[in-house]
Amino acid sequence: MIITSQGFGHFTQGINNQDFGIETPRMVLVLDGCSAGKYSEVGTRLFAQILSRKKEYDNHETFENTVKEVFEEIIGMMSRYYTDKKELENDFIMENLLFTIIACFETEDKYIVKFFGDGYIFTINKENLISYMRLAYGKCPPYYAYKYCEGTNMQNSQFKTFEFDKKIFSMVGIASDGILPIVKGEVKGADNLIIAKNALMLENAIKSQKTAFYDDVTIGMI
Amino acid sequence: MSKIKRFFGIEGEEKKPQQPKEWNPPSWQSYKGRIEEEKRRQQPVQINDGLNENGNLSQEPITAQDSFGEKEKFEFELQKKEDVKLTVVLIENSAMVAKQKEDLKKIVESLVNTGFVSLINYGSSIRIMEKVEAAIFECSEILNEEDIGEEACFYDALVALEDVVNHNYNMIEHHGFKRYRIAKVEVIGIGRAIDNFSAYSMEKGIEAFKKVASRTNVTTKYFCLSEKDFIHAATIGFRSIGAIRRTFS
Repeated sequence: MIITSQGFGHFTQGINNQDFGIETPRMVLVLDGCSAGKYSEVGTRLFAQILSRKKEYDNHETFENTVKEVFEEIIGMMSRYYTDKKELENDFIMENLLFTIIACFETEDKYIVKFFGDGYIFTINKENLISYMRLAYGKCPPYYAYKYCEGTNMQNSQFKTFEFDKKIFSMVGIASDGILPIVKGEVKGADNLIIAKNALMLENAIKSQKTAFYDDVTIGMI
Repeated sequence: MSKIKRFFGIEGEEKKPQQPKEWNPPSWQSYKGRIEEEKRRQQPVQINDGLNENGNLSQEPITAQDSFGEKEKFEFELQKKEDVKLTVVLIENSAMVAKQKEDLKKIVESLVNTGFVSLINYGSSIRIMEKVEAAIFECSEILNEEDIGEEACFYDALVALEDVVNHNYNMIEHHGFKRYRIAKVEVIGIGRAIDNFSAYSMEKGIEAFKKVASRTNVTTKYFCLSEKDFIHAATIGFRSIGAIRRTFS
């Protein structure tokens, strides 16, 4: 289940929804484009389309290698339109490919979340208590595309992996950082809608209180 | 006519008719006052309940008007009740947490700024600080320096948390002429959310926490030392979980 909504701040500024999500029976993927990137919405959609063409792209064991392949193919495909690496970096990578990648996989006995960037993981324990875990790194969050940029110290950074045992957690979901108003309790009843997995009502609740969500919000649940 | 006047002894010049003595017509102001006073006397007894438009107690004293007049009026003041927040800080008293004491102080100072604050310190034992006003709370006392080790009785602390919240939730405090009602409770946990020393089991700890978290107007937060501890805090069910140190490596 993927719910996505354009942020009110982007709506007033005429910027498209830079978030994107895809789902399969055993994986949900949430991509959160950098607001400072001119064409982040292009990058998220291009990446998701090419990723979904790969074999076994929703397998948690091969996911990180698949992501690496897709980035290298996209950058390799576009490099001929730029005179040098610096121009490619500034005019293509920085404007299109800066986005957070969050993927949640379901296996027989656990949920596995792979994280590169900033956002939220939310869980529901056996007592039906919801928890929102925030991964945040300040104004310049780490993006996978920085591995292909000089001057950053991200070349050796890897995906963060979290494993949640199904004996303890009845559900695990992921979200972009636009979910903050729900975490703060500003959207009445949102917690119960998430616990009930009521996608339609949750989407209505988000869209009916559009002004509360400054940033784009995307929520993914298996 | 003159003979009649002589008979009655009223000779001489004609006397003007005498006017009554001390004729002093009342002023209009006092006269009006008397009318109003009389109207007040004739009005039925009226007691103002002191509520303003919002249904809250007003600051003005209550006056009772009756037929006894102004001299017999009596006045009394009701104490206004103020809704405040209680912040309960649940802090792990271990060596790992003590290393980041300065960061902890900043977090506690930024979050504890109004209402009352109480502290639950857990290590090999549990220490509970009596509720004090946030304005006089000293952040330097957040750790128990005498009991810093590797033990952490987290589940016992959750049971103690349930007792503290039960004792204080919706209670009314009297401080001099002021009355406070603890209408909101915020639970802030700091540490690794792990347990290695409790008498109570994990199920008992989670059950106690659920009773606290399921009350209305109770919010729960946990600040982990690092992202590795997120899962432990989520197992208990803290609603908002973050990390003190945020580095992507």
